[in-house]
This record gives sequence, C-alpha cells and structure tokens, in this order.
Amino acid sequence: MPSGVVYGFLGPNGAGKTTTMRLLTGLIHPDGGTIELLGRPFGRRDRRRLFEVGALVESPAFYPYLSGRANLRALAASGAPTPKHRVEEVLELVGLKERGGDKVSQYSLGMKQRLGIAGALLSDPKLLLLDEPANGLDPAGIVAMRDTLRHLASTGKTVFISSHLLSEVSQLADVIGIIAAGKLVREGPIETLLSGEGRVRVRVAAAEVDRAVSALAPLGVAARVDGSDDGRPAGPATETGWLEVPIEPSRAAEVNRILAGAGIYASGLESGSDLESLFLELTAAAPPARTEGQIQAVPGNWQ
Amino acid sequence: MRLFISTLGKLRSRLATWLTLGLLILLMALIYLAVGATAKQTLERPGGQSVLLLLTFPGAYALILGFVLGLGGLFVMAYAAAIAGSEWTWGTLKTAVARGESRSRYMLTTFFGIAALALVGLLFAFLVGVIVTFLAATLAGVSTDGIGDTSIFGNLPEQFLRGWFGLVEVGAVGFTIATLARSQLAGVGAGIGIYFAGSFAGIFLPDIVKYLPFAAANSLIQVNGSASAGGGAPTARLDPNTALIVVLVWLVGSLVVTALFTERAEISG
Repeated sequence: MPSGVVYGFLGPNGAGKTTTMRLLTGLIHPDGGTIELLGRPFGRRDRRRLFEVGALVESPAFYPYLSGRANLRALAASGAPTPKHRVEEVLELVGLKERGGDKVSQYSLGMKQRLGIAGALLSDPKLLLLDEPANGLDPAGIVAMRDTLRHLASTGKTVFISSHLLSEVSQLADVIGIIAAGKLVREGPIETLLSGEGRVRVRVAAAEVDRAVSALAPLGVAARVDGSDDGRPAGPATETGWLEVPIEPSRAAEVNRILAGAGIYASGLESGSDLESLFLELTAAAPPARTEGQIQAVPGNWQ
Repeated sequence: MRLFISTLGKLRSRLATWLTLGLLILLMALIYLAVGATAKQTLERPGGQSVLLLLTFPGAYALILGFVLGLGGLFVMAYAAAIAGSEWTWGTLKTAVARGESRSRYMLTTFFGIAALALVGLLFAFLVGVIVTFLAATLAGVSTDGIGDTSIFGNLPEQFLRGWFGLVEVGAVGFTIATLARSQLAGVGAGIGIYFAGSFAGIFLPDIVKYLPFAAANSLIQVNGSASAGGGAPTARLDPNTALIVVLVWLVGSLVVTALFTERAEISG
C-alpha cells in the first residue's frame, strides 16, 4: 500500500477481511508465509511496530462500567506512550467530548463506534486499520467520519478500511483491494479499476425501446434493456423503458445526442461507474477458501 | 507502572470489587453478631463454651484472620476469575494487544492489581472483623480485656503476609482458569467448584487434598490448631512452611500458564 491514501478493502462475508486485520494487528499469527507492516517484516516479536498503527478490529471493545473518557485513558496506558491531552483531542475529533463522561454502557452503537475510532487514533498512528468503520453511524456521522479519514490521509497517514458498503468505499477510497476466498483478486486505484465498469442509463418511451437499441448500435457496445439478461425487451423493464449502455460515464451526452438524432427523446439519464458489478464479477467466481488465515496475493494486479 | 496504576483505577471503579468486599464483610458481621446475640443460649449446650473463643481476645485476632482468609479465598478466586474472564469476553485484551501491548505483561499486570487490592481488602476486612467481634463480645457479655494484649501483635504481621500470600495463590488459580476458558462465568464456576469439591474430597482423600490450592493456602497460617474456614475443614493440614512451598508452586505455576496461554492464544471477538 502506498502511504497517504485511503485503501478500501472489500470482500464478501468469510472472504478473509477480518482475518487479514487480525493478522496485521498481531491478534493471530500466520500458519505460513510472511507479513510486512510499515515496510518491514512483522512477526510475533515485533509488537512494538503496532505503536505506529491504530486499529479498530471487529466491534469496538470497552469496559462498559467506565466512561468513554476513562476507557480511552485506560487504553492510553497500554501500548504506545500517549500524552494525556491526546484523549481530549480524539474525543473532540469524533464528536464525543460532551458525552465523554458518560458510561460506555449508555452509549449507542454509533457512539461506541466513534469511541472505537478515537481509540484507534490515540497514538497518532501512521497506519489506521478500521474494520467496518461506518457500522452503526448515522448519516451525519458517516459524513463526519469520511471527512476525518480523508483529512488524515491528506496529512500523510495511510487509512485502511474494510467494508461491505461498496458505495461508502467508492466515495472514500483512493485504492481498492478486493479479496475473495482468501485471495486478493484485484487491487489498484479506484479510477483504474472502474475504467471498464462505467455505464449510462437512459429512459425512453416503452414503445421506442427496440428502436433506441438499434440507434445506439454505432457506439460499439450493446445497449441492454435494464433488468433483462439477454438485452431483449422483457418484463417490467420494457414498461419502464430504461436502457443500460456499458460505456464511460463521460459519454452520457453522446448517448443523449444519438437518441435525439434518431427522434427519440430521453426522459431520464443517469451515469456512473459500477463498483458493485466489478465486485460481484470478481467474488462470484472465486473458489471457496481452503482454511481460515490463508491469504494469498495474486501478483500483477497492482498498478 | 502506568499500566499497573491504570489497572488499579479500573478495578477500583468496578462494582464487582466493592460487591466482593461488601459481601465478605456482611457475612462476617452477620455470623459474629449472631454468635454474640445467641451466646447465652449457646453456653447452656454441651461444649457451648468453645464457641465463645471466637469472641475472646487476643485469640480472636487469629480466628478473625482465619475467617477472612477462608471465605475471602473463595471470594478472591471468583473475583480474579471474573476480572480475567471479562478481559476476553469484553474484548479489552484484544484492543490492548492491537495497540502493541505485550499480552502476558497485560494479563500479569491485571493480576498484580488484583493481588494489591486483595491486600487492601484483607486489611480492611480484618479491621471490620475486630470491630464486629468487639461488639459481639460486648453483646455476649464476654470480657474484651484481651483486645490490648500486645503479645499477639508480634506474630500478626507474619500471619497477615502468609494469609495474603494464600489469597493471592487462590486468586491466581481462579485467574488462570478464567483465562484458559476465556470466560468470566466458567472461571467463577470452576473456582466455586474447586472450593466445594476440595471440601468434600478432603473427607475421603485428605493426604491428596491438603496439597490442593485452598487447603494449602489455609495451612499457611496457624489458627489455634484448627483449620480456618477456607476449603471447608480439611482433615489433614500441611505444616506452614511446607504449605508455603506448595502455595508458591501453585502461584508461579498458575501465572506461568496464564502468561504462556495468553501469548499463544488466537484473539478474536
């Protein structure tokens, strides 16, 4: 991973995301192979390397009978030496300063998640590992977290987030790694990965769907009736008149111009890159994992 | 040191700490006051006179200590198990390890925090025990003149330290069981099970049971030739110096097992 980026780590359930996080934080150890952390080999005896890493692995864990502030103080007493004022700084950063004196048992899931992120930031780490950081956060909390993580990346820190929320990752990450069945099946900058995954959706009158498909043929790609498998008008999609054209989002105007030239006027136009399609394509074909803890990188995908 | 101080703070804020101490003191107070209140009827029964030894100073000092150590041993074992188990079930050990903290150092520091609190609890419970015994003796009409007998104090600090050592040992056993089980409930349950199983087995297998954690801890102090309350009343006792070695073996063995298991464990949850 390059430094100073937000890295989105994606994979279906059981693919090995959390196992990878546990390996990187020394919670479990590999049966074979090696791990590199911050550019150096990371083994059982290298726990001090984690002084430069902040992590939130699985669910946030705290003493329920202590306040959020007391929990952070207790956490600061372990691992990397942490200045006292840092506790207040991170409470402020995650918006929990006012509620810092409340017991954690009274916190909502979202507040616990924010406290978990605060705990990960305590030692001002070079590398931040966050497992499903948006879990339980309300929309405002998600936006705030996104801003915070982007800011941290802009200061040169590397943020590694694992998530199953593709839209969240696509908004936040600079680089994406997709894992399936213990193997890293695709990795690279998000723009590069999605360059072949663009699509334009256009809505025409239901009666003009066939004519629209023919009119768009010069684009060099087959326009499909949205929702059908074979591109032929079928079912409710025919009634709604939505067509999907697998081209770069920037060519949406061209689609509109061609249709207008053929006397077909669009009533709706959408464009975007489809991370979901890429994700499903890469993870659906992956063979089942052999055993937990075996992560294999597939070389040659990094750009 | 910052980890140890933090551990003490965490334990001090925990309800279980005060509940354990409060329950021990409450039971002791109830028993002693009940003995004091019913002393007149007790005296009328055959052998009733011996019950009043409980309330007669200076001998009462050692009996109070024996009581605190006996019942306190069970409480400390359950308490230590609860603390160790919660580090696993709440995931707080995981969070510390992910920050680069040494696993064994973290768990052993937590245990040393428990040991320090056990010493404070022992002193406090003993002081309350003396006050309650004084009240019970007054209630029973037993003379309290011996309360100022300073000859007993010469031996008391050593008995105290031995007793504390015994508490620490049974606490270590409970701590280790909960660590191996990664569970508060399993640790507390196993601790209570060992306590009562030891009491029961002591009737049939005294020569084996005397080497077990509770019995060995109880043998550390001399309580006027009788056993203290811990582990019931084993029919055989080790001599105090042999008991010291046995307790040391249990203590060190337990902590080594805790450290090794924690170092090797795969942490999840």
